[in-house]
Amino acid sequence: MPDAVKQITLSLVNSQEQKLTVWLFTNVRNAKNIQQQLVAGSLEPELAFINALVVPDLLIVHAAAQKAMAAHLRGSLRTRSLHAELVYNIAGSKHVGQSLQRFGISEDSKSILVASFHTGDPDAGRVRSIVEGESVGLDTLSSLADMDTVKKFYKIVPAELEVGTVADAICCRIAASHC
Amino acid sequence: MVCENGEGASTSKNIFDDPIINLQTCQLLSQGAEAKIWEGVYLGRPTIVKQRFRKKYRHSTLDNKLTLSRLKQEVRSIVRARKLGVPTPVLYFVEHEASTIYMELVQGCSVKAALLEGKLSDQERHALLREIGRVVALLHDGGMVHGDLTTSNMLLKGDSSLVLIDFGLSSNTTLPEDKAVDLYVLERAFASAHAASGNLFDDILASYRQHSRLWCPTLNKFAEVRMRGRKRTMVG
Repeated sequence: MPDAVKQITLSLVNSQEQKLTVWLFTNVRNAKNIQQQLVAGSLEPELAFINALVVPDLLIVHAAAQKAMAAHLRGSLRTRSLHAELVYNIAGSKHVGQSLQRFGISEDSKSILVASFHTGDPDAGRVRSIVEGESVGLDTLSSLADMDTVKKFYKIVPAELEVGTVADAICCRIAASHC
Repeated sequence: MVCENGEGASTSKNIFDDPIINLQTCQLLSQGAEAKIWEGVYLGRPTIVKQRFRKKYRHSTLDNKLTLSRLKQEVRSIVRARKLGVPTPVLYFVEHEASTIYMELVQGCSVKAALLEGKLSDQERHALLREIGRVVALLHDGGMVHGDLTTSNMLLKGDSSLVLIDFGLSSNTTLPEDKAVDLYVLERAFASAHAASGNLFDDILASYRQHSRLWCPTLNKFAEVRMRGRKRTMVG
């Protein structure tokens, strides 16, 4: 599919007209390098790097981003930055360290979802220059996902899948994680 | 700015801020005793926004505590019910600072409307009643009661599959007494709203009995509750 959408911009409800743009990369070769930059905090402006294997649907990223944005606007972030908060929120748990470890990237990550909060136009060129990998269409996200790991991380039970999709189940956990 | 009267530290956190979504772009659908229901767009989807409001007659510290705990309880109940396989709306976001829940807008009509309009064939109606019995049995066996089982709190998604809504009075319990009261509330709802349609509740009860593992103590209690009403007599 040559015309597959390689970047998607999601609109967010907020007062600063910020949007979220998402890219998907496979066969990434420099995950270790990116991770070092993240830890050092030297990426400016910041980006969020997500382990694409455990995110089966964009709805999950959207819900987590909106939640992060709400916390950002109220000044109640639980992590260092808005972008880190996005990765943390995707996990739908209260445990920051474990969330970043599971849903952020690791040294040997091959498939990476990159997300950026921005106003105006997204800087796609910069993202491509940072990530050494193959930019692929976001419609491949669901086929990349490792469903066994997803179900294990989110503790999704079979009964739950009778009343909705995996994305629905995860969305509920993200919403309810601080209740 | 809203000024808090209380001096304690627990009142410092405001839980009645404006929600992040602009309510002026939403449509007010209804208002109950505890919350307002709006319809809007969130995550690019049609969404129900349920906002609990301040009760001015209550002391603000108490009001904050009650509102927050009820909001959390409702959210937990929805998630718990889903894990049991009970269909509920999908949660999108819970905004503690505004006491607001964002959830999926279920497209379809209420079971109440469907039964009253008489659009359903006898067969469809029978299937629906059996489904209600099955879903309530799932909920009860999982150690929960809904608290407000009425036909207007049940929706038909896409006019076919059943969805339970409004878990605001839901609680966790394994007592047969509580489950019996839950059933009794449903029976009264049928008696008042659907008396003209005959004995619809019997179908539900038969299905409940078939699908619940713990039907025996519950239905024994149910017979008792029927005799005396919902409120327990205070003895001792």
